[in-house]
Order: sequence, then structure tokens, then C-alpha cells
Amino acid sequence: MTQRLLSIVTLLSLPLAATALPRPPATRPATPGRVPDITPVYAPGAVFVALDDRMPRTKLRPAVYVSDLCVYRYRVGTRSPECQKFVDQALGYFYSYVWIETARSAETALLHDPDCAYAWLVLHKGLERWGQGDAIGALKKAQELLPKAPHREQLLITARLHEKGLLGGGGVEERRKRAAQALDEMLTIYDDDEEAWFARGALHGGFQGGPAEGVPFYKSLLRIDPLHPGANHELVHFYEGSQRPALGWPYAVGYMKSSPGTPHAWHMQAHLATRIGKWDKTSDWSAHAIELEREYHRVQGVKHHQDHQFSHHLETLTFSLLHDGRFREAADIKREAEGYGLRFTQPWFRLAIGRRDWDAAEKVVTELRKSDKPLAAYLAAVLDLERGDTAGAAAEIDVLRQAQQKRKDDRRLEQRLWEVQGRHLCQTGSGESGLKLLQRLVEKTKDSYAHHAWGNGAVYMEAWGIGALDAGNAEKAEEGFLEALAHDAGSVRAALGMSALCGRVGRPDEARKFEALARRLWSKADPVDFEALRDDLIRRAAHVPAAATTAAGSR
Amino acid sequence: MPNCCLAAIAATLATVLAVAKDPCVSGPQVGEKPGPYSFLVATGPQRGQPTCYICETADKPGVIIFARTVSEPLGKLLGKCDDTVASRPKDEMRAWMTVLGEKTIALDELGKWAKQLGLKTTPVGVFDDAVGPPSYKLADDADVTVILFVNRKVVCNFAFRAGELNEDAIKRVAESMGKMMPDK
Repeated sequence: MTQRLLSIVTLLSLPLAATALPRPPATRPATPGRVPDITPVYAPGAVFVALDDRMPRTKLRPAVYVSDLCVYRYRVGTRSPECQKFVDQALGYFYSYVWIETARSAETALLHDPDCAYAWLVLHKGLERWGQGDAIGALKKAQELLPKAPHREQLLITARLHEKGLLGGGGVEERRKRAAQALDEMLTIYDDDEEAWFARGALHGGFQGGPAEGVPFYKSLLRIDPLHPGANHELVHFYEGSQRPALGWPYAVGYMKSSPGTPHAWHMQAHLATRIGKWDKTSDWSAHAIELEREYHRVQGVKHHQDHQFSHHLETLTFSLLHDGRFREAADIKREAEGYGLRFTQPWFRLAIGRRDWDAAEKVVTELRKSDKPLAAYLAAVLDLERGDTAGAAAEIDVLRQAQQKRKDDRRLEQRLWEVQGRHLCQTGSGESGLKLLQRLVEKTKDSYAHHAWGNGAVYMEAWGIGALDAGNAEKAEEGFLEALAHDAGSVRAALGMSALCGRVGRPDEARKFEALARRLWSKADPVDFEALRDDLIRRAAHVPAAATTAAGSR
Repeated sequence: MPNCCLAAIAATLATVLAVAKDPCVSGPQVGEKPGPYSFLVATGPQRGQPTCYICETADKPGVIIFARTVSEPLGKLLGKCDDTVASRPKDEMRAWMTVLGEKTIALDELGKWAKQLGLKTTPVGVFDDAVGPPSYKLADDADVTVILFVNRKVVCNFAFRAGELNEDAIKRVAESMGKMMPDK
């Protein structure tokens, strides 16, 4: 009994002694200690406190400082360099929408200076966005500390108090108006204050770009600080949403420069790059985002499901890798994502088709049949058309047609039906009807901004060109492939399709140039995959008859 | 110096001069079809959008200028284009300029340059790949290529190496543009 008591005392005293010591400077720990996901209800309180250094408001372990996370620095009212460091880190995360880390870093800052009013304000914002903890409680704490805070912070906190209704009631619009007045007043006094400019822009709806009214504030902020992470980030979203993606590109680059250690900054460029054809850069940058994210998970001890951006970042990288023919890397990402229990059905189907791994494609279809029959039928039809099983494709098209009859307003379903129906007709001797259907599909979608997201803009044009090769129509094949290259200058199928066609119709110089272009576009692809695609298109181009050969050759 | 060396130098010089006098050939030739291509537009209503003006022009007369550098003579040529388009009824004719290579000039800089020229109706923009749209077969040594087309067929083609776009050349292009009429 005495021995058992002694062992318990020893067990309790060791961690307590450890926590009584001053915390070492925040550096990356060799191995983060294991923290239970949930507090075990049966654990005696004393034991739990002793074993766990989680902070009271976020219930997270203190943040680890990451020196190259973000270049943004905003001097706050504190004498503690550690508090300042973690406030800066919290703001870096905040402007990249990493809410959990915003809150964690802000609370860590408060461990070093509990009287830093601005750290409380940032904690409030992080908790609110994260949807955890007592966000309003943190704001009230900032309010309590107002008299001790620098004048700038007093004004910023006051604006937030107005917005949240802590300085009197009124509707949302009325409170927002009072917050705007407070910030406008602040900007008349401190026109160099980055936080005030950002807060003023964000008042118009904030985050994900918001409405146009916020843009002048973000642009003004960038005049003061061209590397402000928040302003750059918001403008990337804004220009993507306002359908002028090329105007957002300088901000995408600025955002990466502002936040070199932040995964989301390296991801965001893909929103624009895949629309405006910056294919030579986007995949590598998206891959870097994932490398940083894995490192972030390791350093802060975060699990993938706690990182709300991770799945989207992985899927975006997959789209990019597939576009660039980097199937091996896409397969690695697939394995990683599967390990996390994530499912990217369509990209993985495209991966299987790209590698001509019919079994893997079949597996995706079989799984999908349980949950989404029309989509499964569409993918199965694509698979059958790729491997030349026209009878199998016909059966799937029937299923799709029946589904479309029941959902006549579903445009996506209609487009899928037209695509496979058109290609099927081209492969079964009704080329004219098939090409008309595919051309109609192209006409309906070519100006659709939504359809062009993630480098998808040329897929139906590629299908049109490939369908025309199958149907032996050189003129339409050329039209389809050139349209595809016009909408996506990185379309390797169109470049190789043109190469195969030109080779077939006696234009060898052009055939070589288009093949050279294709090789450049897929310079990081596995040569085996490149050759397989090239051979497939050459095989299809063999359907172009001798008569058409003469006509197309004389253009 | 032996006579044979002098002869060789003279022969080389003659070849160089002959090559230099050869007209620059670039882009689709008369009778060919200018293919569709999109580029990132820096000015006008489509600013910031990837746009295919070939598609928008359809059967109407159109003028495309491809440029590898931005220069004063190019500005003058654009001014002539702009005047020609402005002298026609609205939407009867279209002209635009595509700078080749994203490293040649940034979109915003190009927009400012065009503003300084006072252009009204001629949008300018950038095609990221310095090679140009693949179906156009633009020559590497063509600093400026001008393509005039009507009803989707090229009716005139001009190509200039660096330094060749002078007053005379601009005048010749402007005259050809002035003669372009819609195909009725």
C-alpha cells in the first residue's frame, strides 16, 4: 500500500514540478507531448492539470513560434517581446483564415502579458471564427483593459465593441455604421494604421473578398504596406469572384511574399493560376502549400481534421497535378488523403483514366453506384468510351438519360449526358450527330466562368476534338483542339490532338511544333503516360479518311 | 590578308545582307484562318479577363498586332489602328494588340502605357507564352506581326524585325487597314 501511494505521489509531483519551472523560449519541440482529444471524465482533476499544459480559453497547448510564417508585424501595447511575437503570429494566421492558430497564438501571447488588450481582441476574433470558446468573453476582457491600452488600440477595440453591440443596441446595420464611424475617425488621426484600414474594409462583409465596397480600403492598405497578408489575400478572392482573375494575380504573388511559411498563401494562387493558365508555376506552389501544411501539423501538434483548409488544399493540388500529367505525385497525394479518410471521387477517377488503370477506375465507379447513380453512370460511360467498349457505354448512357428525364433542370447532368452521348455517337458511326451535340455542349459552356474553374475550361472542347478524330472529321477536330488551346493554353490533349491530326494530314512541321508544345506542357509527367496519351490520339487520328486528309492539308 | 580570305568575308557579308533584306515571315498568311486564342486583357471592358477577340469579332474585319517589345513606333501603330476603328461605325471593326511573354511587361504596366497613348477602342494585353498562340506560327525574329482579316480569312500580313517598324511601315499598314471593309 505504501509503495502504491509513493508511486502515485511520484507520478503527480513530476509533471507538477515541470510546470512550475519557467517555460523555455518557444521553439519547436522535438516531439509534441500527447494531448488527449477530450478530457477523460473519470480522470481526477489534479492529475489532468498536471499532465496537460492546455490553455484555459482555447483548450489548446501553447503555440510554437514559427519565425518565417508571415512578415507582418503590428506593434501592440506590451513590454513583453514574447507577447508581441505571438500577437504577430496570431495576426499572420488570422489573415490566412487559420482560426484555430489565431486563437492559440493570441492566448499564448496572453500567457506572456495578460494585460495586452490587443491580444484579447485578436483572441476574440480567432475564437469567433473558429466557433469555439467564449469569443465575447475575450472581447469583454479587451474592453476592461481599454483604459490601459494605447490610443490606437482603444479606437480599434471600440469599433469592434460597436460592431458586436457591446456599446448599445441597434440592428446589425446600425452597429456596423457606428463601427465604421469609429474607424473613420481613427483613420483621420492614424492614417498609417494597417489594422484600422483592414478592419474598415472587412466591415463591408469581409473575408473571401467581400463586396466591392471593401476593395478601396484594402488597396489603400497596400499603399502603406504592399505586403499586408490580409489585403493581398482578400483581393485574390475578390478578383476571382468578380470574374477578372488576371487582376488578382499581383495580389496572389504579394500574398505568398507576405506569408512565406503559411500553407494557405501558397495555395491561394491556384484559384487564379488555373483560370489564367499559369500552369508552369501553380502545381509546384500548391505542392509547397502541402509541404508547409504537413510541417504545421507536426510543429503545432494539429490533426488533419482540425485543419479546415487541408482537404481543399489537397484536392486543389490533385487537380493541378492531373492537369500537368504528374500522375505519380497525384497517386502519392491520393494515398495520403486516403490515410486521412478523405475521398476525392472525380479527381481520383481522372487519375485512373489518365494512367489507363481501368480496374482502379472501375473501383471508383462501383463505390459510387451506392451513393450517386447518375454520376456513377456518367463515369462508367467515360471509362467505357476510353477503353472502346461502346456497348457498355450505351447501357450507362441509358441510365444517365433516364436520370436526366427526372431532373430536367440539372444543367450539369445534361452536360454530362451530352458529352458521353456525343462521344458515343462519334465512336459508333454517327459522327455528324455526335459532333453537333459536342459542339452544342461547347457553345453552352465556353463562356461559363464557373465551368472554367480549376483548369476545367477546355475539357468539353477536348472531348469535341477527340470525338471528331473518332468520327474521322479533320476540320472539326482542328476546330475543337484549337478552341481547347484558346481556352486553356496548357491543354496537352489539344496539343497532342493537333499533333496527331497534323501528322495524319501531311503537315509534319506543325505536327512537330504541337508535339513540342505538349512535351513542354507535360515536362514533369512520367514519359510512359505521355507516350500512352500520344499513341492513343494517333490511333484515333487514323480514322481521318483520305478525302479529309486532302481537304485539311490544304488549309 | 590573302585574297581567298577577303573573298570569304565578302561572300559572308553578301549573304548576311541578302538575309537581312528577306522580308520577315510571321503568322498566318493571306487566305489562311486566324485561329482562336485567349490572352489576358489589360485595358477596356474586358480588363483582367482571359478573352478571345477572334471569337468576338466573328466575320467582321479585325486587326491583330503581336508584339515582342513595347516601343514608341508600336505606340504610333496602335494609334493608327485606334483611329481607323474609331472612324468606323461602332462594332463594325475590331483591333487589339497582344504582347508576347509574361516577362515582357506586367499587365498593369501595359495598361498604364496604353493609357499614355490615349487609346480609345483598341484593347491591349499579354499572352503569357512568348512563343505565341501555337496555331499562329509567329516567327522568333518578328518583333511586330500585324494580321488583317475579314470574314475569318487573313487579307494582309505584315511582319517586322526589331527596328523595322518605321514611319513608312506604319503608313503601309495604316493604308491597308483603311481599305478593309466588311465582307457583305
